[in-house]
Amino acid sequence: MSITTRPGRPRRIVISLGGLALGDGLDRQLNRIREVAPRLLEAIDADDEVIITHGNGPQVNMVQRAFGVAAPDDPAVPVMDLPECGAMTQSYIGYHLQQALGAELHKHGGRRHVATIITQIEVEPDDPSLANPTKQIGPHLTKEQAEAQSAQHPGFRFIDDGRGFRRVVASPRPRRIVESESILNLLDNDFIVIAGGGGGIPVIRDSDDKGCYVGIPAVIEKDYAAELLGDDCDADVLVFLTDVDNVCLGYGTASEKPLGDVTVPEMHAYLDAGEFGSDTMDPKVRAALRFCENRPDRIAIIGALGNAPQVVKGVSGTRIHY
Amino acid sequence: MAEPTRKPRRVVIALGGNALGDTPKEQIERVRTAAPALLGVIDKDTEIIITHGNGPQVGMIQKAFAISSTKDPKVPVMDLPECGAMSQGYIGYHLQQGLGAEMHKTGRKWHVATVVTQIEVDADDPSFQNPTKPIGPFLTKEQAESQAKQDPTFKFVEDSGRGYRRVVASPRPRRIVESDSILNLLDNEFIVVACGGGGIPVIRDTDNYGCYKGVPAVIDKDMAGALLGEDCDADVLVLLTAVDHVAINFGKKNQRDLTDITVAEARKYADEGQFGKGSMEPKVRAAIRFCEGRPDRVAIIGSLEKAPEAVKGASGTRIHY
Repeated sequence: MSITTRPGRPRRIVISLGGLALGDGLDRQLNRIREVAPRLLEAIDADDEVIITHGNGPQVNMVQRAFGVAAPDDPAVPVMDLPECGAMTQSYIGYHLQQALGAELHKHGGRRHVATIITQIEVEPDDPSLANPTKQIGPHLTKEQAEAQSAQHPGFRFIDDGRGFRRVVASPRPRRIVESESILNLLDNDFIVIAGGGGGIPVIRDSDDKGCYVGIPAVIEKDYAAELLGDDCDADVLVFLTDVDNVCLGYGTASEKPLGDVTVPEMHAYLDAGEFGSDTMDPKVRAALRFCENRPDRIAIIGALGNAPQVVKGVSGTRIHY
Repeated sequence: MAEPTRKPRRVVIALGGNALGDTPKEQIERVRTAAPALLGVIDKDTEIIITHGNGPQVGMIQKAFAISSTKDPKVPVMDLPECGAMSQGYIGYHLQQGLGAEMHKTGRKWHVATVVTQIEVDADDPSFQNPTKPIGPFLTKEQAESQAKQDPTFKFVEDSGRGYRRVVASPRPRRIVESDSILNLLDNEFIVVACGGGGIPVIRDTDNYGCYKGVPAVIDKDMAGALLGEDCDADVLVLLTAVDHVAINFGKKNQRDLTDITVAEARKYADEGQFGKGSMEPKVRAAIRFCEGRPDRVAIIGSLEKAPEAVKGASGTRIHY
């Protein structure tokens, strides 16, 4: 299966980096991204149009912790809620990606530019998950701490997961990339664009404010955000770079079988049979299927970050297509 | 006969970080309040780039990490370039949302984009030998000594009996690394937010093929605004502050508000020490630098509230040849 593109137009690729690509600390993040940058650039051809998106789990957790721990201690540190913490991680990670990709391009005489776009993603105010939040964020708290936070912020919800109380937020479905024009514009001009970091900053239309956008404390599943980036930017290829070589049937069992080329109906059947559990692979497979269903000449690939060049060339990883 | 195509006027607007408040709630409210004035500057023949300070915001981010990293092993120490990057996303997000809301309400269809911006400085800028810009919280002598031991590159000064503060260099900005991103979006009629907090300062690393690396330093945001104007070939630089005009003999009986001065006059007043060292003088110097780049340019210093009037020449202090 070779990767086809539409005639007369360069191939447009969305590459989604898993958390592993970034490490989880400050020095580690820049060092890790410097290791990853050459492989990413090797993976793409000079005339490919490329959007890079990434998770922010450890990073947003770190920013939230920094503000959460310091705010009660120092009046000059405000409470920082999730949309703003997410915005900070987009520019924090984007800065390192710009610098590391820029360095690699500089060393090889590449003439492309890299730009990070701070990205809001619209979700529906009546998304069912907003009424039933389940995504755990932030540190474990004692019952007293959770009650104190609830009293201060009546919108906060907590659950007791046995190890303590954790805040839960909604994980709504992404509907529209607010900044898609910015991304498309830069893509048309040969930029490598970093966008939709951490699943984007979730915003809803505020009916009390003439339908203007307002940020909400929620976490958009980053694989679904990557798929929407592919849709709103009319991409041809969606690549998930993760820590396994292939999507597998019977993962972790004696009869484990890695998948190479899989058709959309086959993948649906595996998904329905519960092959991918509810772990990290499930949202990737669902996102890959939706991406292909929305335009049947597309291909979605799930493969290992370490093999990025082979994955993007279509000789490693699991390729999903019609 | 076809109308001659006129190049749109390109305006760089620099907002003070203090105008943005101290908490996320204040910040989004202030941006929403300022949005009509900022958008009032734009007409069909004007392109705008917005830049902003980040003093209070980067201070807050640094403080959050500094306090938490001593109490929670999962929070690392976060140095200045990364804190600066975070402040660009934090402020850019609110500017995008606040300007977006105002446009939505008034039926305007422009787009707003924030560009995460690095600015190159010279590795041998003299300010690196003699750092003077205080950042972060006041420390006791013991705290300062222990931090200096942990990271020998950290320099501290005693600040008029109030304790010790870390000082970093304030190098001269040389090149906007992301100027192509900014120009590209501008050419396509975007409102571009860039160079927040004076940009993330980077130097060419001679040990790594001349690739860029971040340095803990603070670029004066007004100087970064002037460079942004230069690199983007802007026609007008608007430096917004808390007062309507630049004044001479400030606070004295013979105080005089300046409305229209030449570059030579501005330089003379600045050399006389007429302007506050840490506040108005850098703005006037940045204005002079901007005008020197191309003699048909105009720099304007005025208040955020009267930004549209300032750009039309009905408020603020205009500096030009």
